[in-house]
Amino acid sequence: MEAWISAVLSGILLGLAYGLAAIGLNLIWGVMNVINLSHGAFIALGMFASYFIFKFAGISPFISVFLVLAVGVVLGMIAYFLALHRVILAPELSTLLATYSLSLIIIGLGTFFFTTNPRAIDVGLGSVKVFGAYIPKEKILVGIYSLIFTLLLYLFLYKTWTGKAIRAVSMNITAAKFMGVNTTFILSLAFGIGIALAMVAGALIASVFPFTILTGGVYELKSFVICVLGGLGSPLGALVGGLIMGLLENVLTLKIQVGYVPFLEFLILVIILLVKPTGIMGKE
Amino acid sequence: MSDVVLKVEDLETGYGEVQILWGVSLEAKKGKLTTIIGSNGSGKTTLLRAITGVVPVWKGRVLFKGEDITHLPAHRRADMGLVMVPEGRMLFPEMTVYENLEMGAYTKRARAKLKESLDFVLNLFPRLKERLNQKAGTMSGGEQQMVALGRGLMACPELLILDEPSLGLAPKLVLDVFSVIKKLKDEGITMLLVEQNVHISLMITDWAYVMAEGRIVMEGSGEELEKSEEVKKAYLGV
Repeated sequence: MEAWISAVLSGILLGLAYGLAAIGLNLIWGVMNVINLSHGAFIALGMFASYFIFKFAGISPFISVFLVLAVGVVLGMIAYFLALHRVILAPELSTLLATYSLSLIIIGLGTFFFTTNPRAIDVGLGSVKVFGAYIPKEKILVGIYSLIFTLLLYLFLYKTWTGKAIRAVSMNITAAKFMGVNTTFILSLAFGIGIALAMVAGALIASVFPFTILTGGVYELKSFVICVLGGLGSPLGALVGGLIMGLLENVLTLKIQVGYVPFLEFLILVIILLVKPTGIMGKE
Repeated sequence: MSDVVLKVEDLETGYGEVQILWGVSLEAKKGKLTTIIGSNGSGKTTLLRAITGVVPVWKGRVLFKGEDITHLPAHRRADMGLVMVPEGRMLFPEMTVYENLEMGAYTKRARAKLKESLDFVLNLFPRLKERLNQKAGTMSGGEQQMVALGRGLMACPELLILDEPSLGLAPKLVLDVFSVIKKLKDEGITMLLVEQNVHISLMITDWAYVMAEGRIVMEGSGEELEKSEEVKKAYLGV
């Protein structure tokens, strides 16, 4: 019984973090029509940022995550101007290749500098007993932080002028220009925020699981499945998709071997694509 | 000079290798309604795209309030008060009516007057009052045109460009749109109107240009053009 409770709680808490990473992917797709294949690389960068700050400055990932957020926005905006700006109006294949090459560069450099030896952040906060199951406090913080960042994003997109401009650009970029929106800035900012969410999700997950520079790829794939599950273009759907994904992953491993989980996840992806291609919360 | 808000000089542009405009010149005067008529493919839409900055200009100049804006990006032109109500309305469909109006007042100079502008727009379109929280994409064509006009007015325009505002509307709604344009004219708002409804447009306009094959072929007051045999033959079907 404790094992089930533990699995369900872990699933929810980690699922929220997966959802956060997927929201970043979703935002970039929704605003820019770009499928960001460098998402995983940036998730891994977030993990390493968190790791090095913890190792050399002794700062907890749950504090440094705000720095990671800020750095992520700036890094994402730089990446936009370097890799995407010139091809943003080109067909989707060009932007796909642009983000893919970005990913190859980051992972190449990361492999060279950080090697592929696994690393882990041991924050050592201990556990709490919930309904008889012991849950590491880090996992609980990961869930709470993910919820907070999702909420902040919502407030930003719906309550600020800049956030509304991002939504306007996602619906009709020409009309947004007519309203006086600097669309180049908004596109770069949207990419920056999407990247920052990936890095934040990475930084949070790194406090729970060990990782290498290649680990990001796994979470990138999860993000894609989550986006399809919840409906591309629907941030709330991404959160729901993340929860489903987290629960599946944790509950299924009680009964079957870990190695089968990705197979089942992609089976679900295929089924969703066949049955309801717009996703659970997506629109036509 | 001072009463000319928009001045277009010998404008040439097109898409890729294809030239569409062959030296277009026109003026829009302060407080006046200026109309451009012309058949499909005469270059009206391209002209507006060049004026608003979404299509680059090859040759010639665009002056707004005396300043050369030929190479200014579109959003900077909106900042200056050059406001476009685009063809097909181009609302933000997933936003509420209120948010659409709010986006109209996005520029700094318009934001400061948001409350006043909103009162003005809701006075003009009382029906929008109870629809403020409805998503714009779920409204009928006529209602959407009201939101589009309202959104343009929220920007405190120094020149309001209306691109085919009556396109695709039922005859009754076409009349509504024109009575609104008439009202705005009486309020002293400077407007540049592009229309296919030649007859009504010429009835209310102060000055009109006729475009054909990327050139201005005729200009005059609404009355003059309506009497002109050529216009009658080409557009009024008489």
